[in-house]
Amino acid sequence: MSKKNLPDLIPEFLGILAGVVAGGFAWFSQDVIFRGAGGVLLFPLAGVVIGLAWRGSLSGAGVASLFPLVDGWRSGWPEAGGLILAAFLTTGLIRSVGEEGGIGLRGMIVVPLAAGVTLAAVLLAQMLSGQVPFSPGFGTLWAEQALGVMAFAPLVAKVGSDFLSQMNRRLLAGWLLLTVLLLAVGRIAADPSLDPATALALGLLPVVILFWQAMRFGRTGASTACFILALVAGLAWSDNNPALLSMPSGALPTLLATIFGTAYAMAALRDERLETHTWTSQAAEAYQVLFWRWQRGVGVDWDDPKRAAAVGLRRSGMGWTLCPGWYSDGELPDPAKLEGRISMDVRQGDQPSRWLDFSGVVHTRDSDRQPTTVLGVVFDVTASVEAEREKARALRREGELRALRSQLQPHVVFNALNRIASLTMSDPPAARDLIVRLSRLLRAALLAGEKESVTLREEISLIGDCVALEGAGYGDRLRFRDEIPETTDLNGLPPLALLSLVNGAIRRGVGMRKKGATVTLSMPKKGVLRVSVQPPVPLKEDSEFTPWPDPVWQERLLVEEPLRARIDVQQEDGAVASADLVLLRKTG
Amino acid sequence: MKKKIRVLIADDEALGRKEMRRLLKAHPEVELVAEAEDGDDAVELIQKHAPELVFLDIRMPGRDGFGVLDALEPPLPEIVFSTAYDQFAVDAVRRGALDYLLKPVAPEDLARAIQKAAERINLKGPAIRKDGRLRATDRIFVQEGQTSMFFEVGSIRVLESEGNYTRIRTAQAHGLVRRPIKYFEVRLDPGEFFRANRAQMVNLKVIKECKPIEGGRLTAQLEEGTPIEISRRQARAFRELLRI
Repeated sequence: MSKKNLPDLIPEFLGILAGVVAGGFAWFSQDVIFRGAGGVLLFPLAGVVIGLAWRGSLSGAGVASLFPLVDGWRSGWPEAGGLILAAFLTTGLIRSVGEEGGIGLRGMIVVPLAAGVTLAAVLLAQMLSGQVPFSPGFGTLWAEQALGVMAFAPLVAKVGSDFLSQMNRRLLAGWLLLTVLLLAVGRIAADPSLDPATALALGLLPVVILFWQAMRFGRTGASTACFILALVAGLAWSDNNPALLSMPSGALPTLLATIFGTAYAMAALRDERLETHTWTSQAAEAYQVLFWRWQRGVGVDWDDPKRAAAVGLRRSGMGWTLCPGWYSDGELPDPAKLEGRISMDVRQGDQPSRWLDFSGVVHTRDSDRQPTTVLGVVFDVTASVEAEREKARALRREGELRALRSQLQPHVVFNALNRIASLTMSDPPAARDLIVRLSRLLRAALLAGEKESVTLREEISLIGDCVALEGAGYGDRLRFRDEIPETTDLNGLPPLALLSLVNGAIRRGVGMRKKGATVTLSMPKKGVLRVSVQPPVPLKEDSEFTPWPDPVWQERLLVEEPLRARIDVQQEDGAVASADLVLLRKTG
Repeated sequence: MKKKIRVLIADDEALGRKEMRRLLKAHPEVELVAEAEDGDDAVELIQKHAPELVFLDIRMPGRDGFGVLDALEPPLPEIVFSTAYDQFAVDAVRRGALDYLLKPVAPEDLARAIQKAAERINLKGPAIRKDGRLRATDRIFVQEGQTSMFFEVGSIRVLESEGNYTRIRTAQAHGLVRRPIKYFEVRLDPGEFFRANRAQMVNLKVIKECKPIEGGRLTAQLEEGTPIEISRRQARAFRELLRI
């Protein structure tokens, strides 16, 4: 298990702090603006914060959902407690399902537990201050509010994260402006001396504005979410009439929100239909294959919609990460027109993410996560997957020589032979040792086409040979560390994939540096084999040398059938620090 | 006694250099003057020792083999690429490098490369002209995108200024050199190359005819391609030059 570093936890601390400060402020200020208008303002705001925290971390998201506390404040502590707990539960639950690889147990236990502790603290504080007497309606209120928040939490989180995924400076400024405006409206509308009709009109104003804002993003889903949120809050424009939010008059919006929120959450949690497009895991593969081909400027026929069409989605929390690629609505983006702009975001050897927002518009993003380009859209998938697979099969049939050449970099072989040639005169035993090692590598490369899979131990043994062969040339410049315990073994590795990662790391990391580099092999978690290079390998787009990791390998793994592994890349300051071979099937 | 060919080896692998040293022992006609361990080292040592022949590895840390060539002042020494497996070295030879050696090196290949180098070096005569100008047989390393080429000075038709770079055109190809056109005004033989205007130099050989145009300028018709305009100031110099 990998442990989080302290700096990684900063977003969580900030989330906690923000939640506590906002909740505390709302609770204690007793300010009139939190009546009624508070609902309108703070739910979407809470969404933004939750969305923020969502990007950051689990507990950040949980704590950020303290925001509903602000709403609960109006009706006293039982509601607030219910809201907090329910929000925690929901966020934790959804996140735990949404997280790849599953943090299910942690999400489901730790988050409610944390919520319980928070709640207890709040209760205690309230009791001690004598502010809140025990209410007989406690149970009903709790249940009602819990139901409402179960619906709200995903909704709010989704709206928030959509907002963020769309957010650029201009939008942010607009949002802040809007918040101020709504605050002002709320301040006026909350005046108890207003006549009910004016109060209601003022209450509906934010509804309209929010709806209009949501529509600006062109996403019906987000719009609906915003609309329902605003509707609920607008109806509860109570504050002249707090009963509106309680049973039975509060039931309708709550129910609506519940239905929508649940349906949305369920759709998001299954790999199913969102809007009108169908996503499948095949789509993910197909798109990745196409993307790599396209990035390397080969093999994508843009005139054939079926071949150009592919989508890859990876779930992340409530959102969808579009794995590198694109997505289009029938109109295919012209690669010639896109290329220049895409290159701002796409780098070879990198796996940039694109965010698929609610309506299916795909952006490229710069390093500040600001949208730079709308890429467009694609669907239909199966045909291209089949075509790619056929190509892969053909590739495999092309014979062993071809396999040898692409499985094992020719440089490895010829450089090794050169070193051996030199050693035969000066150090014959060493020369002999290298010949044995080289023959093992050659044999493995020749057999790689036939073998379905190898074990980790077999692969590590070959890596040892490779390191010895390269080390004979690089000497002290090559420092290799194998941190995988010798007793650890796995099966089901694609032959030579890990070797190629190590070899590429040596060639690009060690071979291009005068002082060499340290190449480390480790297993951060089961089924993930990491090759890291210190110092990292700079990304050079224009280099004539094969990048690391080799895109040919990345593509090759993606067309494997059945899909067994993929290569993930971690970057530091524009350089590749490590590459993971992620095994996708059960390994034993 | 015949003068020995001065040789430099650039290879980042100790075993590679050792092997080359061993192979060179069989050739009394060469003298190993230095060994470079990486690209930057190679540039420094080539400038210091001015070898006549360089065995240049392509993959090296710091600058790669082409980076070394890019950094060197012309005239370039004779270059023999040595590489374990690089198609572009083979291509480079087609584009004007002297030769290439595939590692591990076969002694007869090395003999052939040295033989070729010796012939070229004899043909060129004394290593450097006293006035520092380049000879027609000297080579200049140019790049065009990812393609690297060697142009013989004598084959250059036109040089064009592109900011701090200069585009060099021969009859067959063109490419960029990372030096301003002023540099070539100093390095090329004024009897062969003429600065026609702010942006262009032209090989006098390729000028077919000259006509005066308005403003005291001249237009020079080349054997082929767009005519070149000779500015008013340079037109005077040009007339003087031709009278000589």
